Amino acid sequence: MKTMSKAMREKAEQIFVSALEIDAKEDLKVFLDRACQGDDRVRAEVEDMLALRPQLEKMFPEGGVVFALTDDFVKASQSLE
Amino acid sequence: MSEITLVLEAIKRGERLASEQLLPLVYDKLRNLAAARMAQENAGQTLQPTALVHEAWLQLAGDGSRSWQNRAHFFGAAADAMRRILIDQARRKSRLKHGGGQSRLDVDDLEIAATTPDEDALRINEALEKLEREDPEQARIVVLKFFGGLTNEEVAENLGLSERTVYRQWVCAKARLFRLVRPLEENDQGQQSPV
Repeated sequence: MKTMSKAMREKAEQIFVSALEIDAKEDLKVFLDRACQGDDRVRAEVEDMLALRPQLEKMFPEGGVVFALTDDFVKASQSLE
Repeated sequence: MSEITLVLEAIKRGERLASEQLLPLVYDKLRNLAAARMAQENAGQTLQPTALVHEAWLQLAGDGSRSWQNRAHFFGAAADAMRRILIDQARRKSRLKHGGGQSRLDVDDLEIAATTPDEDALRINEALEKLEREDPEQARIVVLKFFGGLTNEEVAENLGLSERTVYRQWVCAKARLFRLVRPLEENDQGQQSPV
């Protein structure tokens, strides 16, 4: 993971959380264009996080994970090809 | 249950020792439940560790007549305890595997941790420790949600945050934690993830 300043990371996270609520691809693009304001690093960071979404759901199911989680965790990270 | 009440009281007073004191309580309960469940099920049938652990915590937390605040505090301490149980077991098994196995290994330990690849558990814990240094609040939310199985509402109560903040921090923490582990995976396997 690239190192980035706290402020930059917080900005990316804020955009990421809002972007999670947008389903349509075109709408997402419009939103990211506006929210990232041409900041390519922030945008890359947000897009990277958004791409993880399916893996994250599997890795951290609601209700706690505990022991069974690690298998899924590793499988999910391996599936990022 | 009186022992648990004492622990809850200690937590309320803000004593750091509380979760350590809780560890043997959670562990004993877990072990008993695991043994009972294993006896009921056929060999080879999948044990559901998450459900099992959750059940253990629910029983430890009492019959539901306790106030919600105590439950939240209790689950917070239980989450720390579960993390410690998991990581301690993983370390012990990892040591045994690498030839340092002079100490006796309890068979029950193996039953509980059987579904966990230990070195992966240690690696995840390492990532969480890094997150704890960088962003203690996000890390705490991970411990409560990930090891404790708390709802956003419970975490919010536990940490004195709004539910919306918990939700926001949780989704971000998941992505961060995942990416703290991913570089290790890539190094291990020579893979890069194109984004």
